[in-house]
Amino acid sequence: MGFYILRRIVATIPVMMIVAFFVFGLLYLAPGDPAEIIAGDHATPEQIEAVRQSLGLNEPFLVRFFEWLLDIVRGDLGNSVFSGKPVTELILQRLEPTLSLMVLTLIFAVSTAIPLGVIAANYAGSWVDRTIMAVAVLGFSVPVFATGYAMAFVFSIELKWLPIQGYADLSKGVGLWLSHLVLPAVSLGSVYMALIARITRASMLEVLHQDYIRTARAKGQSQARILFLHALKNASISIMTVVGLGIALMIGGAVVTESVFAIPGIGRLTIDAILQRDYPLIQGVVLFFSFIYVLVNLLVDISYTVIDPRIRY
Amino acid sequence: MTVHGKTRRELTAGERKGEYIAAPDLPDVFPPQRRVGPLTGLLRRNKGVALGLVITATMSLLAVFAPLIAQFDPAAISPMTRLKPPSSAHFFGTDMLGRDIFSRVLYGARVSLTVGFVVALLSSVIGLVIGLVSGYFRLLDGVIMRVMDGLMSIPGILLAIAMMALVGGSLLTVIVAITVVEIPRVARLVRGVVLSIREQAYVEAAIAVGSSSGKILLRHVLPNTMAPLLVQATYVCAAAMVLESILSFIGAGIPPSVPSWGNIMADGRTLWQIKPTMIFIPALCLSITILAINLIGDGLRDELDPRMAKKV
Repeated sequence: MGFYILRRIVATIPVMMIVAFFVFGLLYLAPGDPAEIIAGDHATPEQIEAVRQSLGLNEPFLVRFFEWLLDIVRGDLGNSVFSGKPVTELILQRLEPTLSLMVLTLIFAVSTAIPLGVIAANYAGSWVDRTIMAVAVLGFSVPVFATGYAMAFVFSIELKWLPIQGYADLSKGVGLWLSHLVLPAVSLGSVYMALIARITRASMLEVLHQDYIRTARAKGQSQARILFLHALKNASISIMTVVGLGIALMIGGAVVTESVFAIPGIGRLTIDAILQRDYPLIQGVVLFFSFIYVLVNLLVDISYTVIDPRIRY
Repeated sequence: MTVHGKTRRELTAGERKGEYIAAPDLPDVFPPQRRVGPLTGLLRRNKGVALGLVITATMSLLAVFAPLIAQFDPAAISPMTRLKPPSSAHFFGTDMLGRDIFSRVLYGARVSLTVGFVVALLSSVIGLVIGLVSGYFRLLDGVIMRVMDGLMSIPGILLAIAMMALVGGSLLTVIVAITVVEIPRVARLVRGVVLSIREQAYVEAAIAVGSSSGKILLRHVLPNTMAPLLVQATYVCAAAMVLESILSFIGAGIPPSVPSWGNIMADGRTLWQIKPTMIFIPALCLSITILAINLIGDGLRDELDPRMAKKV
């Protein structure tokens, strides 16, 4: 198993290299000369040339690519054009809100979707199943901002139960932190939940037809135990896969959710970077989120061997 | 005793003679059916598809005839009638520049539907070609699929944002950016189908009798990819519409002057607590349209691949 994990980690390196190549290409093709920006408005052509030399901007494309790659491995994503601060620092500053939002969203989506999917599979074809699946299609179709604004309108403006917008650090108390994140997490999680509920139902249906389920029933196992213990365990591989792939949806949705609820996270940073055409920052954020996405899916792949000992690579 | 569903009396002399060598009364595997077109049959069996088609058709008609239906120019600014509530003149009220929201939402349907349909078409065609080549020619497969994996490792919205940051926002650039995001998903699907088809005995037979690669791809492999491709295209269409609205909403999409649903919502963002209709009406239109397209997709999937009906 150790060898398998090692091989999976090695296999992600080319993928990350291709991602890095795309992202670097973005900066390379971006309009505007970084040397001119750094040298300032009143720089002479000689001064700009000197800056260009010192930054290594005259080097060939591939040389610059590998130098840039080395910098990234060292944790240096360059400096923001707009604020001049290191991109790594800007991202780390905004990490807490985004990470909080994503973790809560994940908890909400998984903890609601799996029971719903299991129940739907258990009552397949009945009105219970049809209702749950209708809700899932609906959740799947309503975009994040629609859910977000609707919930903020009902629960914050009309009922005044929760704060409308903003974010409170975890250090200011769990209650306050949670009250700011409930609505964003639920609205971000609704699409994700629908996705997981659908796959849970589907893979449960497949498992429930197998012989060992009949055996479990024959020996008098309760239906709840059969569903949640015996069947769910075997259905969990495809569920885990979708949970992993759905992270991409969640990352994209986080950009919108943070904008709707005015949460100062990496999503907001992304939008600000776009509006200011701050290419190093855009590059850093895209690279960061892609890294998270690849990492999560790597963990999902590795978890297969833990969940299901039959899987040997 | 009956033969081929006919009683002895109904049989012709020839058939009666063959009666004794005919298989005795096989169960009717294919019971006689009143012939209906494939579409009519689908609509009868699957109400979701019917509903989805009705909604999509209605939205498309509204979009096409937007200039005839809207009483106001969607861009016409009218400082005297700013932020008016819904009335008989302005069904959905007016925005902070006095523009008629109903007209803007109508014209917004044009942008959303155009992006959805064009992206679905483009990424299906390009993804199909890439998938066919990758699945059939082993040599290219490794390289192409690594590139596709790399593209898919960047969350879709961020990839689109990154590309939009490079080029200026316009309908064309938005379509291109979203198409690039969606191509790998289509290509992967097509490749999967090709890989399973090329192991089939009839493809082996075609190779054995000396059919060219091109002919095998066109005659034997391509038709098998059509059903899953059609289903995928509906999901791509829905995803493209969401992506377009998100890009416009965060200011990285269609220029703000163009009334698209995402742009109307972006305009309404600052005032949404006092005038929520500017957010909710475009959001509702978008949700209904996407729901309709997803219903069509789900129905088609159940219809075209009954084994898949249980999955996902």
